[in-house]
Amino acid sequence: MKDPFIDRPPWSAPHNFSLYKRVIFCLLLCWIPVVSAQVSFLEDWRFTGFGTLGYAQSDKYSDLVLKRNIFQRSQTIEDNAWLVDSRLGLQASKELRVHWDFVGQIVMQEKVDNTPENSIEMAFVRYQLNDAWSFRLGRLVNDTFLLSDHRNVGYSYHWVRPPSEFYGWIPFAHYDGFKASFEVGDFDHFFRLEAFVGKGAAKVNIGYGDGGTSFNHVKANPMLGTSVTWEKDDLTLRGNYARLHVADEIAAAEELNEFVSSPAIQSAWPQAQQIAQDYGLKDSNFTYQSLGFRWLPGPWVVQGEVSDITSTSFGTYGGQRAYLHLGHRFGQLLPHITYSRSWDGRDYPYDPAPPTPNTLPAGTIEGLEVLLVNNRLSGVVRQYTVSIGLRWDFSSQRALKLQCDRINLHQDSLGIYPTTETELANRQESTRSWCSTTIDWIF
Amino acid sequence: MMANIKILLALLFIFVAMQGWGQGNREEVTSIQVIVNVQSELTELNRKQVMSLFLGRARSFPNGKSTKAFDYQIGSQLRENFFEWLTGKSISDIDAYWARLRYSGRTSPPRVVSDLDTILYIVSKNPNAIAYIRHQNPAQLARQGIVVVHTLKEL
Repeated sequence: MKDPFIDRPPWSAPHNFSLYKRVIFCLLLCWIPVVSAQVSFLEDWRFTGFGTLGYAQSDKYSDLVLKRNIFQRSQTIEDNAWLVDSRLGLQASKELRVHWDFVGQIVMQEKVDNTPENSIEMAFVRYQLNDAWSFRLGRLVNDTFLLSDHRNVGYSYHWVRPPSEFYGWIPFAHYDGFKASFEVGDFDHFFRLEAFVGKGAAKVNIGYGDGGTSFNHVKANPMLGTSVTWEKDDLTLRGNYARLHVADEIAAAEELNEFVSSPAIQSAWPQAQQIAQDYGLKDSNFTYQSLGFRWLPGPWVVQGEVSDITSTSFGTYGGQRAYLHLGHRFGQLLPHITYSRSWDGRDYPYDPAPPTPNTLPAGTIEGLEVLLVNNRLSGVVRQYTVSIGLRWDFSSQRALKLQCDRINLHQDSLGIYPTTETELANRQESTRSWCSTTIDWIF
Repeated sequence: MMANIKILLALLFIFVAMQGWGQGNREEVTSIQVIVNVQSELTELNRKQVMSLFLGRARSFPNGKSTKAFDYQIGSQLRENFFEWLTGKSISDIDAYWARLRYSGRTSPPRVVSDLDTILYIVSKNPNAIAYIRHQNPAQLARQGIVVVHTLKEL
């Protein structure tokens, strides 16, 4: 039976990205001086940008899917080594008139939905009422967690990629809407309160398949939230609350609902339709709550976050996440270590499926149960990761980073690192490791 | 794997060669003055106040008047010394800090000015301006309507 949620085509058919890779590398290496150059007729505009050239390697697991987040396609590390972390961002800003400015940003990177429209991370007009109040309207970057609003800018943090337990599972990188900010600072404290509302759309890839119904188009309307940030000397604290309502059903869930609503399935397994509906995303709500801190005493770097994600849909992710990051700068070198963890305490709350009756082909109900359990487990993230890394600021506004990650996937959990295994249920605990390097720069 | 590592190292070499190992203007700096216009009515700022103004955390002088900070080009030795002495952080940390703010769309770093003469001209004409310069004679600065409100020395 075809699995509408975790469609796994033969993984021996990798996509050919050679031309794409060449274009990306040309952009990364050749554009920098061009873009940095002053262009006289655009003098009132500020053109800046950032880039990352990355490479990842794992000798042990040739079938390992490695990705930064669920926006990226599920491709093996062998096929995707240069693209998983490489990206180029360009930003333009202009002071339109007194109190008004515009900021636009486009980021080219490997992801499921690579359309120009979806590559625009920011395009907003801001009205600065006074030193305290400002209002933004347009496309805004989603800042659910501490690094969310600059996670594409590798130069701005020490990791090759921020902890996937946190930053791998944010379904919406940006939204179209409105944000109000209130900032007040004296010379001892800085305080910022923000609130936003908008709508977002994203195409994500969960599971091993790379195409078809493995690509889920998710729309949220409304997305709303608030955050509060407090800074004093070397300490930053940030709390965030966000809520989003999924407006439409994803195609895979519609397929599943259609299948289980047939009279033959309903009579054989009455609970199946209820389970399928519980897995659906339409009209489900997600709530994100998080607390984070960054403490930079002298050469030390200490950073951590905790979050709780709840969802009214049973078929997707939820639970708690936390990480702690510690580093120390020695001149141009900054070694660091990070421990991150994700919990998901939800159990499978349904009765076992009955045996397939004679009226249906043998194995139909058993196959359907496996499909449902597999779908459930594809969203379960019970894992921890230990990362060690080194950042070398070898030149002004340029850094070379090395990082090795060792991840422990708990039983019945895959996170964003699926495998070729077709049966996810009763999957045993396992570990995986890989190393990555990037050159990050801003210009 | 070895072939890939060689490619990576070659790319790294090309990248570094293209961009230059560090950037020029490596003159020795012993003391840095933070300057404002005399019409700002300021006589002194402490280190924490200077830091808040140059890191974008405060947008007004302690007397409530709004302010605008000016900075030097990336790679300037004076800029590197100023931020390292002021904050105790590496200039890379400061650049990463501004990258966080700039590329999240929050705010932009201080306006960049290319040379000392331009800095002095801007501060002498603008009551809201704040900038920093390599040590100069305060009496000469006063004749241009400029006041030294803080002096930084190597940590």
